[in-house]
Amino acid sequence: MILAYIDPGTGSMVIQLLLASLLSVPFLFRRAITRTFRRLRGQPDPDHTDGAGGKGDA
Amino acid sequence: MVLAERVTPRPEPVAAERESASFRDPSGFVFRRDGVLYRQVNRRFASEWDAFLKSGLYDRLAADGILLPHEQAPLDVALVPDDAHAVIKPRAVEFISYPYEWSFGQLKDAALLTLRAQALALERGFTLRDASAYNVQFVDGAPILIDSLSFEPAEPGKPWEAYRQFCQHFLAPLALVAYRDPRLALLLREFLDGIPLDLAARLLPVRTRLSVGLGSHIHLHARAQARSGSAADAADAARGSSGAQSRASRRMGRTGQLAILDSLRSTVEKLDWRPQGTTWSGYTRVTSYSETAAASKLAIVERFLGQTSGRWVWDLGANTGTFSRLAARLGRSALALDGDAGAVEQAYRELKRDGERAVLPLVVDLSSPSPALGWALRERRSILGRANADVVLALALVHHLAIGNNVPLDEIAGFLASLGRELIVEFVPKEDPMVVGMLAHRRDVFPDYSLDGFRAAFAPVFDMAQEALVKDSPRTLFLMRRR
Repeated sequence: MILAYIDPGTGSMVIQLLLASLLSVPFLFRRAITRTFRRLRGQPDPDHTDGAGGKGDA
Repeated sequence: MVLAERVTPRPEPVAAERESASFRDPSGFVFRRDGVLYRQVNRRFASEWDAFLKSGLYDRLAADGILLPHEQAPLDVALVPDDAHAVIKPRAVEFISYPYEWSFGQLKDAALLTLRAQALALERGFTLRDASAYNVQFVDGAPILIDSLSFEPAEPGKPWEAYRQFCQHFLAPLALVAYRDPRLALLLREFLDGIPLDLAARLLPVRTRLSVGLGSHIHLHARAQARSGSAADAADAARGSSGAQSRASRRMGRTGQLAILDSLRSTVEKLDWRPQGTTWSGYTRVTSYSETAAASKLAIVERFLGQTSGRWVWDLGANTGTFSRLAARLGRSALALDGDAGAVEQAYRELKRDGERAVLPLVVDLSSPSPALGWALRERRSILGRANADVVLALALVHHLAIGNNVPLDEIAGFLASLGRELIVEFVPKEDPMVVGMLAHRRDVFPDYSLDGFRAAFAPVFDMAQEALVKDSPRTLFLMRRR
């Protein structure tokens, strides 16, 4: 296991697990809708080059 | 004693020295050799560093202007050769600024840059190990990550280790400015590892608890920290039973990571603050002098600037940066310093809109400029410790310091001389409407505040090279050179 050199904070790690479970479904839902709209408009899917933080991925 | 002093050798200029802020991360450090900045990669970080270069992530980040590009340097320049795996020479950052000197828009752009870096890293199986705002610098008008050692292969299923740091360094100050007051950004100066989330949660309006983003990443996050920091939890952890510690080692999927990152991005993007009603924001439009005077002042400053040399111009009390931009048009690089966050925000927005890359606006109050801070007061340098000005512009500034802040004129002259060699300075006399207004409701305790008094105070430190009267105004501009 690689350990961080900064203190990630136990609470900060725990809250991410909770948030991941709360935010994942709405996130996937939004992404599916965005992709569908893009496909209908014939635009390329930016996810392959862009990732979640990308400008076009909302 | 005199003899002893004579034979004592003068200290040699240090040929190679570790940067004083570079001590926290054991994987490497920054040092200077013969004035050139290098970064040593230590052996313990060898496999992570090689993997980072090989993965193509470095190339992508450098190409996108997200990470400062570097050249490979010969291993024999290493400062600690026994521990060196590699040495790189990053592109030079000429002026280091700190997050507590940035306006809202600058901090927000730095936050989005950090999230974008983490998103690109995740795509390639890497992660950003730290999300310190101090790892971002402004180069050519845009934020860029400067810590090449921040990326390492991600351990599958592990939450983002820099999440707490991102929320403290970026999200908390941005939310406090957007929801409360721009002056709260100055809390970053007190809390160098970012604003504690419990404090941010207490200062934010109650309604922010209902927002999905701030409710999650600040309010719930602060409560989770408080719970995990409790004595009961520590005892659980020591017994190895099911406390927060063991919960923290549970795994999360990739979708969860992307969802959190996406939520952070949209939370940051939604935060907005528009300067209005601050002291100076409308200043360039509502001035106490006429259009003729403004044009005359611009022409004189342009002429004086033409008689100065060197590239760096420090524009003190820059307001929205009109004269910094003039310097930039003349091929100079300018630092536009002003104490008013609204003016600096407006300057940053206008510079960004116009693609003007040679001016860096920063929030610095000259009556109490950025001090030295951090460990042993050597981690973050004071603004004087970073002075690199060739030319100092002090336009419509002296009366604010002398009358607004009661600083004697000779003190002001000494301070300006400590910043740079050449000085373009404006004297605003008592009959000017600005000063009349400043003295309207207080006793005039400034008998020496006159053109003669000004000359007498500046003459011991500066040679007067030029002076010119601003048309249609009682103001005088001087070009001076430090003696």
